[in-house]
Amino acid sequence: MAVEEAAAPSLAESDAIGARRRTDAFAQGDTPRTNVPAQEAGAQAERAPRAWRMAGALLPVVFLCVVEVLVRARVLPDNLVPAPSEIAQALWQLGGETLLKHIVQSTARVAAGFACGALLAVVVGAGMGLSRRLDALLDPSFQALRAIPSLAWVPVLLLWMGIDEAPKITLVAIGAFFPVHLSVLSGVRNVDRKLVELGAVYQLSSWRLFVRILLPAALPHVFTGLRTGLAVSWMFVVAAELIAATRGLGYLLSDGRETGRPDIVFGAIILLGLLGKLTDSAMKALEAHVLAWRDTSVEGART
Amino acid sequence: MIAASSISAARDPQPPRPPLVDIDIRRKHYGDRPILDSLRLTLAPGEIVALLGPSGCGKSTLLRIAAGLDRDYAGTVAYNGEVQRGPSPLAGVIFQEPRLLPWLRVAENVCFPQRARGDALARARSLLDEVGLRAEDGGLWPKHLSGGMAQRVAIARGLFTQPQLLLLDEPFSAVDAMTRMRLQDLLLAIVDAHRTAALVVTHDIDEALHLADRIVLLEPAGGARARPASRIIEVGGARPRRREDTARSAWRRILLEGLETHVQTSQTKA
Repeated sequence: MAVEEAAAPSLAESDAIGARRRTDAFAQGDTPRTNVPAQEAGAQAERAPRAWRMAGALLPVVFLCVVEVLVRARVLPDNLVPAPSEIAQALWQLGGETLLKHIVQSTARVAAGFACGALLAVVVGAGMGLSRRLDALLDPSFQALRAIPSLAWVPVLLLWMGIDEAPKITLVAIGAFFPVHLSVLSGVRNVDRKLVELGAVYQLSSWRLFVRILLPAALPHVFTGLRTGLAVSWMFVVAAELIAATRGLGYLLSDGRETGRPDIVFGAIILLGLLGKLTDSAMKALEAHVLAWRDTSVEGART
Repeated sequence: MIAASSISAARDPQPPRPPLVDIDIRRKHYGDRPILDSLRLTLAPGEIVALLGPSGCGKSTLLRIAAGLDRDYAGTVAYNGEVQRGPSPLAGVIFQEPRLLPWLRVAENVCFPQRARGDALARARSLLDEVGLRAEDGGLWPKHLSGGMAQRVAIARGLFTQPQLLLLDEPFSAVDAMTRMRLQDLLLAIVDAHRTAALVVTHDIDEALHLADRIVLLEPAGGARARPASRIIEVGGARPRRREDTARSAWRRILLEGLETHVQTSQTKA
């Protein structure tokens, strides 16, 4: 965190440094771009001070401590809200190996389903983004499919695919598909016409135009969709595991409910929250790395 | 490129060599609005022609037609005597804004669409050097460049394919006055060094006077005189011309008068 802080000083500071560097880089001539236009500055994600970001990370911990105190003081009934210490104990009693088994199982399902759904979404979204005809043909169907709630798929998938891994991964893939599909579609659509024209100047084939210009230009949109898709994947994996599973955090959740163990239910919920946050952070880091060229966010590590 | 012209000369041994580019537009309109009408413009190798005119007169459209980016017109564009539909590999295009791809580093932008490797990278580096940038600048993202630097990169990219003709659409209109003068001189140096011809669209009389061997004054089509739509004014004296040359004021006056008649006709129309 300290490294990150050093690499990315506050907005005003980084811009001043940038301007200084540009001046150095071009002492011989052109006036460097010193002042960022107001609109652009507004688009830049302003970084909150470090203390506040630390506080943000600590807030859930503080919340759990407060709950602990309230339960111990019998302000909250412990049959409805188990004390965080009890939750931790319950998870501990399950054993690291069992816990890891559930976590790995759910994560594997999310990974497989998200990968399949997102990949398919990129292909279909790109196709519809490039071809107005394909878009006109498929768009109404996809809109209708998107409107179907996740749980409605469960009986159908169980009927078609049995209770094996296939229906669960498929459900996650369905969940991941739509946000990614939508973002790829709008990303490809909104590529600056002037950049597409550059492709025409160089007489790029359709495929090369897509790979060299349309796809990279759409990437900022696509990443937004990927992050939404990942979050939805966690939702859908629980939906899948609630119904028919013998492993996974969704199973842990439903098992805790059936056996009257709210501490295990809350434990599973907390683990789901943690895993969702961790995978999103990983995706965010990947985004920052891949989109280092973007002019909107605070400058990356590159100097 | 030299080989290409000598091949066409061998195939067609008659002495009258076709011009480098021959733009012959019979008609171009957007909807019902005529833009260009009966216009013919030829460029010889190494020649710089400026297209001057008020905004809306169709000068950018003419350039886009020459670049093969606009094919919706009646007429022909021929490079070295061969009719060209669509962009020609003989022409490099430099737009008003740099149009660098933000996800490619500067050197990668210069060799686009080739990958910045081996010979391509070496060529990109030498072109960057030629347009006044340092080798290290090749590793920057476009977002780190000033407007003038970015336009230099765009010029380097335009030169990468070794074009015989550079098509420039108001290339320096978005940079400050000092930078503009530097870039104008850079362009002149590059055109001389690479022996390319250049067609420069501009609305800046001084820029036209500074750069061009010939200035084509474009009048909006459908004005008081329906046609011809253009006047061609020859600028005397060999390049490089000095900015403080006194003969310039005479040329400037002629061009201003030419432009003013346009303004009057378009105002009476409105």
